[in-house]
Amino acid sequence: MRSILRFYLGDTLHEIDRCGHTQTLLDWLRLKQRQCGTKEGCNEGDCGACTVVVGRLEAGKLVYRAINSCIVFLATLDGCHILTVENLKTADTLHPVQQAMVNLHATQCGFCTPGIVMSLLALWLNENHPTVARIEDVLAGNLCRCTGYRPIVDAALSLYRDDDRESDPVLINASAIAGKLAAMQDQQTLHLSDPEGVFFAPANLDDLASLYSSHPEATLVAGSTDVGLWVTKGMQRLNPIISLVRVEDLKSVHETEAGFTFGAMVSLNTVYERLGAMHPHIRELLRRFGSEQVRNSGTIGGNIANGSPIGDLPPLLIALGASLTLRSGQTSRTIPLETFFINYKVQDRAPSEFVECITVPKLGTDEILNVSKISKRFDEDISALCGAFWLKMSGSTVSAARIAFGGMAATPKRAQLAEQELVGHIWSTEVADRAARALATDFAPLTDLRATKDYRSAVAGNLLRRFAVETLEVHVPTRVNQVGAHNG
Amino acid sequence: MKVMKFGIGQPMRRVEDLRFITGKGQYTDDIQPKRATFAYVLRSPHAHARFKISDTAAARAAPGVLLVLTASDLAHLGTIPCNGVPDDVDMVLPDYPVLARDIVRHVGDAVALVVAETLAEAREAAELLEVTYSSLPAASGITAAMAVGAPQVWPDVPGNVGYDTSMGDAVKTEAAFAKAAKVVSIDVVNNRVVANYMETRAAIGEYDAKRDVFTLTTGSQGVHGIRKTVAQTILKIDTLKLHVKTPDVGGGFGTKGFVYREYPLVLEAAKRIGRPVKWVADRSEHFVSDAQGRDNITTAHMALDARGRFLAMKVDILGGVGAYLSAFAPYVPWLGMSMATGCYDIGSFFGRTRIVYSHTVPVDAYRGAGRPEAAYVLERLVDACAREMKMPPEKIRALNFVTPKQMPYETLTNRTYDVGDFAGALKAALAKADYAGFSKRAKLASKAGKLRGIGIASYIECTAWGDGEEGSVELRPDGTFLMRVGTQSNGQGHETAYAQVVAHYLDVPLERIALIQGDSVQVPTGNGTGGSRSIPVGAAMLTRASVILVKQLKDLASDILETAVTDLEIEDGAIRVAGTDRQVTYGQIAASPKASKAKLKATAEFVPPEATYPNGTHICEVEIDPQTGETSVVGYHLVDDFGMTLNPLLLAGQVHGGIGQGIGQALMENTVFDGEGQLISASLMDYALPRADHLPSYDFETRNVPSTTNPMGLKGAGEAGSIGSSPAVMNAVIDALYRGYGITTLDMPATPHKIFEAIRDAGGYR
Repeated sequence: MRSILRFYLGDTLHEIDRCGHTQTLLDWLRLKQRQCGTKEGCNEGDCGACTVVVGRLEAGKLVYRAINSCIVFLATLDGCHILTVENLKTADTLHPVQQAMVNLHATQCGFCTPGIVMSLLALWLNENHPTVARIEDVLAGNLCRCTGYRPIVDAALSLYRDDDRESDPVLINASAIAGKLAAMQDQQTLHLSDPEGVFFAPANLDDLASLYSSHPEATLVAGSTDVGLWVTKGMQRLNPIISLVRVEDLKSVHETEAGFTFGAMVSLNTVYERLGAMHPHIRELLRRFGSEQVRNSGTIGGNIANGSPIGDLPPLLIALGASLTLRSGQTSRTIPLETFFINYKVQDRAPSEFVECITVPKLGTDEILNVSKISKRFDEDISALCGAFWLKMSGSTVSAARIAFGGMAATPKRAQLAEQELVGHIWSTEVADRAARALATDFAPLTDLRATKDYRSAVAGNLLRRFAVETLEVHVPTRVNQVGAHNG
Repeated sequence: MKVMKFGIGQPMRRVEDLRFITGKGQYTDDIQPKRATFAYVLRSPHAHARFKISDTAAARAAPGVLLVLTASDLAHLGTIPCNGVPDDVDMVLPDYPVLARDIVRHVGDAVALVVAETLAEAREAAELLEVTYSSLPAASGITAAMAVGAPQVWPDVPGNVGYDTSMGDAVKTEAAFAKAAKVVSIDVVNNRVVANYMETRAAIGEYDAKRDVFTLTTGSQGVHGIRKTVAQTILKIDTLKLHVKTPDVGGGFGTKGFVYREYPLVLEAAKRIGRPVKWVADRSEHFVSDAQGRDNITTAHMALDARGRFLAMKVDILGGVGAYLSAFAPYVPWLGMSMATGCYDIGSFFGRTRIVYSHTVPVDAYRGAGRPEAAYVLERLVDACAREMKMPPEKIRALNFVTPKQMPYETLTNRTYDVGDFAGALKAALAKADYAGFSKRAKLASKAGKLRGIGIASYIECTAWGDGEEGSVELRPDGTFLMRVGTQSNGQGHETAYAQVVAHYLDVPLERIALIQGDSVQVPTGNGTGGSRSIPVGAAMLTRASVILVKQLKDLASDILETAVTDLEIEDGAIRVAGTDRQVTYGQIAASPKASKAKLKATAEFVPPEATYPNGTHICEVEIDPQTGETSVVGYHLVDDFGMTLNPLLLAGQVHGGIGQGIGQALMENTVFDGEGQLISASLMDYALPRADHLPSYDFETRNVPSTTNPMGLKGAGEAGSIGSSPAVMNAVIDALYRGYGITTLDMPATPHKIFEAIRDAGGYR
């Protein structure tokens, strides 16, 4: 066990033996360090004023990503390099991102500015010549109320005009930082405690398994994009906490001809990249999943284990026929993902059992996938419902079907009656219509703030009908993003 | 006047940016006084309820708790005043107590204040307060409050109507309507919006017992007004016993200008516990504790002759004010009525305005305050007239505009427009927008299954009326300059804009000119920022002060250089003998023996004799996907008359930001109370703010006609973007829907859902 938390903030190594076990990075920066450049605009990961860039070694390589500091626990940043807006200016020279913002008059009141600078910094460090649409995606998690955004987008574009990233101070420093982070890595479990509770961050799978076995009452925390809110908004006291963030074994992606195996701690952005390559609908679903910052922190395992009825990954993964590997102690078991969700906030997870990995089969050439997310707004919104449809075809006949919805029941759930209406039939709009009507028996959705039960029922059926139109009458445009509404 | 490199009209980069871009901005929450304590406001979960706080002992005894305040502890304090009663309006002013007494009147109404060593302790202690609510029926919004038998918000305001006033000539107007060839009527709702500045409100109260002086630090739109109200009316102390400071402000939009309950609360608490008390709103609190904006329901009628000339106009405005009267609440709808006739020369006018209480969050001035509401009604009405008369919308506008020859023009609402060329701006905007090419673009869109629409809004607004500014410019011993101005930047860039005025006369780089604002001790007087007044009033004052200072410095230089003043010129940060290299720097002048403080400082005042009237035309082009109801703004062109341009970059920033808020209101933002008065859009998840991909590029240019009401010819520009935009967007949306389905009415926000339903109701999906 190690009871000192270690990370770099800018060029400074911090070694901390005492910190609130659920203290957020934002609070630590603002209250303890009195580094107030990073702002709190909403404290729930919506507005992005608190965005910082965090560098981590990912498979030995230093990668910088933008995250929301308001919902990430400081203790989960062990072994990281944290950059805030205060770390960018060197001597008298603004960082190129900062200079671009000044040149284009992209700041007015200045309050969202630090977060926007950090979001653009991560983009600049990682990507070549992003499109306007990509810049807008990256900024979807940053609200600005003064500028109308255009100058900010223009500032981002201007960075690439004389693309001399080689001389970027962050990148110049990166190999030195990578060395320092590598030197800090160890296999000891980080163990911090304060009067409010205890925090563990094991460094490997075996330690995690044995730790969780001895603390089955612990709350497991992955990216804390939801758990963070339990603390900051829900005022819950979680004790003890076991963070999975240091468990390298959970961060790998194995790709075979048959499919992918994602460790539970693979970030949603990595899933976006890997699984998104398989199908445009997956890409679209993940593009709209939270914001760039949320996708960088949030994980595939967290999204599943959380068991939310409106999580966006489970319907897709169930439709793809994913299986889930759970582990307790030295024992692992693998189950079809759909059987994991038993009831509202009840999952098939024994005490001390945790999600180890998710195996997702690749789409065969005789398989069709279709995914739809329905939310009130395009970016960074919670689904009213999310539907995923998978068909295995034998010629023009459906030989197998999986239909899964989020937001239609207390759990992500398959529509078995609707599936039965499809299997063995020639895929047609009529058959889709019959299956759509069967959904009324499969589901009895509820009315809440996101949608009424009638709306959910009607739309669920229509999504299935649209699936048929999209596969059978491919020339008909059916999606908002096909019409240029979002600059494509 | 010679063009100075840093001076007026130059696209200078902002001097404040270095601070903001590196995280060095200092906003209220960034300030942590020594021994600070933290306050939490307990708020009502009910829209209307009688309540009793039966026990505070448990809360007072909770860990870390230093103080619990309820209304019974504050009997010595005055109530929050309303200073915005229009002239000639006689109305009851209901009490707006610092903490609610016996009855709560909206969700979020402040019930108690708890101060503790940490915020978490204060929050937890607040949960220990035993508050018993017995809920009462609530009037949720204007329509519910106007219904027969509606629950009363105030016992002495029957029917919830706060005032009922009118303007114009009813008899003449009715007569004109009687003989009209055509009468066109519309009903519109101007949806209630929430400011959502990124920096929520915050306040720090301190009390110096030795000097018996309070200090309030808060992000405001001007310290002096807050000082006066909090000191004189609420704390009942001498104004000079309260020092108000405003550091950097993360957006205001009008809504940060008022006195809110937390300001006297933190001061009272600081005095009682002898330590600084800090309160910071979280985002959910912003939605229920800050005044909201707009919220009008209006009926308007136009009488036209056969040619399409506007003979007469009538408006009937219901302005929601929420449960309590916030600072300028009654004034805002009245101000809207006073701008109802806009750019048009109309034969006669009659307007009626009523303000309506309901059990909802108070409503007050928000970017434009009354003028966006007026422009929205008028430009929707003018488009409706064009449709009814089968005239092109640009033609009916041009036919009815007040012409430059008519200037100065007395409106039927007792205003005097000094200058303006409305037809000129319209014509230029039509050209920019390639209006003539629209039908071709519409056809192309239609081939792709889309509905394309184009919308015009020609607006005029009034800015910078009323109070003046007194301030100063001084030369400091190190040769730099210092301006003291009683306005307050909320992000507009005053440090840069004002420095450009001074640089214009003294020819020094902007970095050598500092601004002191936001401090009621260091700046003796001021009237703050609001009504787009900072530049037209503040810069006009600085012009005067700079001219005076130039004269005083030249007098000193004349002594030093032993040269007649008439032979001196200002060049490159020094005063020199014209045509020679003999010069004296500002530092040398400041150090010269005769340079008394008085000679190094110039004070001036500017009081605008009349408002300024910025105006222009916005043209918005949208494309609607009828399958989904999704609207995209595909073109945005505008030509504005801002009198003169101090800094084109800052000006464009103001215009773009205002349009962003107008597009937000038109397409997505909405404040929704349910039937019981619960606010159900109270987070950034549920209240839709525009994001980067929602807002278009803007094609903006100025076509300035200098104002005659201030020496620089300036017209205020802070609100104009939000005034022209919402009608332009909605006219475009309705134009598209009219072309496709004959739809002529739709209220904001034009969400996909609402458009989808409108198309369905019009039989569009048969």
